[in-house]
Amino acid sequence: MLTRVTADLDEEPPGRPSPPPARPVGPDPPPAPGVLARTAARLRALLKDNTWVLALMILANLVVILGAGVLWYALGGDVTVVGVTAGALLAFAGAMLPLIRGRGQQGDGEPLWPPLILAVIPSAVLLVGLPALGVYWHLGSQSVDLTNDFSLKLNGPVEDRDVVTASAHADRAKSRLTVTFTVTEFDPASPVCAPTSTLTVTPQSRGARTTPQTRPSNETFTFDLGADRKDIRLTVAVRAERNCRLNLSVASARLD
Amino acid sequence: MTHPCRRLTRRSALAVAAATALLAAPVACAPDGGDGDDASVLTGTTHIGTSFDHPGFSLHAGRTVRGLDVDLASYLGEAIGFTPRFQDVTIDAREQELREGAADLVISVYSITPERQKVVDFVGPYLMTQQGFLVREDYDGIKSEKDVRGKLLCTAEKSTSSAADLPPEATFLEERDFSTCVRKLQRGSVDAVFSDEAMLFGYVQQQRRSKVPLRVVPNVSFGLTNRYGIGLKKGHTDDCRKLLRALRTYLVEEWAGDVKVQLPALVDAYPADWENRFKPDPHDLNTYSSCRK
Repeated sequence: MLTRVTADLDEEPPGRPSPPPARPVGPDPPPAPGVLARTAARLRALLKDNTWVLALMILANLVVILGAGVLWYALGGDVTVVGVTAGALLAFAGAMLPLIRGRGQQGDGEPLWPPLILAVIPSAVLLVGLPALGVYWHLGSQSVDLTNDFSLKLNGPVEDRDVVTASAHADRAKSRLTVTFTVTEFDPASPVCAPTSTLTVTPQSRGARTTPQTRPSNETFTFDLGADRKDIRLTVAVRAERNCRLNLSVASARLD
Repeated sequence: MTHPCRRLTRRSALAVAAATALLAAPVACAPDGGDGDDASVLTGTTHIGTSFDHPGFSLHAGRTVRGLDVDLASYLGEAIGFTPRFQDVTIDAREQELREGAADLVISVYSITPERQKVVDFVGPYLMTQQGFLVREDYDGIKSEKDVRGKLLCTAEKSTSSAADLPPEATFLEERDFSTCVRKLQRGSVDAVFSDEAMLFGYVQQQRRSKVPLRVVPNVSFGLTNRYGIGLKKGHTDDCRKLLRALRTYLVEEWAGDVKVQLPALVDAYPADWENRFKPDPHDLNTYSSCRK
């Protein structure tokens, strides 16, 4: 603007050579605003005059925070804290409605369209909830690996006629258990005896529609637990050659 | 002037040729046998490590070796097409002889154990046996398992019997071989020799006409059932499978006849069920052998 004013003042009839422009006199002009300041000013203008941008900002905020809450819960966070936080956020967004409705009436910007803002909250919930539900259903259809979750009540090697309790807790309830035990000789210098050993495994869950199964050790057992269960408890009865001492462990286990 | 593309092509061809030669070299040097298998040891003369002082299994006498292990090796040689050449091997040198190639196979009352399976392959079992007590024929100090307490027992060092759980009140004397134990038993230096029943019956047979005949205490045993296998160096899967097939046939066709000839004391001790006690089920071969077929 300053350059233009100067040009107006120095306007000469055509045909005469122009003298060099005169330097402005007086104090230095204020420095140009920075990038951040310019961006902030632009955003403020947008938010002031555009319901859509304001609505999108609120939506983005809600999605990020609700999504973070869902992730936190999925990773083991406390559901109460997640619920309280989500509720507070929704209440905050709801509380903004009177402010939005009052805008324009006080002459501080274009009046906004409240129904659009009203749609933001359910949109955010849907945007976060639907993918979360999809992931939940997908994970629910996957098997639960319990290989490292099984604990055996053991006091050293097992021998013929020993009975061991095996138990595990799963995060998700399932009704079909597949488990394989590993049996190896306790003393590797002694004659090999594990191949002739057998295991009889019995689920101890109440209502399980299963009978004990007896198989050679290292073979896989599959049980229908009768209903979806998170807590698994099995008794494992060992049969082996006389004086055969064995290490018993769970090779693999999963719930389907 | 050579065209740059042609020169590049020649260089590429040279590189390809060099790479091909490098890749082909190990293949050309590789021994026979598929899947990276080592060269077969079951051709021409096959060196069989066996103990020369195990009566009933492999006893060297009169410039010949005879026994069940020898009969088995001879059968395998005929079935597979190799000439067995027997050489003496001590109990503690069996794995080493196989690893170093001093013996191609070990057929020598060689019990299959997890520890040994880590260093050598096994084909078997060709005989299974409980572990029992060899005593002087006139000795009646051991009639039941509880009588073992307080007794002086002899066994061979590094044998599976030396690792058996016996009552803590029993005293173990470990000798270099079982023949030394038997001599001590006959001299009265020890109360009993503790080892595999089948092997002990070989000594019963050998010493039947000696001044101090021996007997195996019936129905008293400790430790685990031993299963004898044929030991071979790891990396010979094809040989392992050949031996497995031949051994399966041997168990069905020849085993009983050979045991009757070489271990008559064993047959006499259990006339009704010696096969049930000592003969493995041919189906067990897939369970205990290092290879499957």
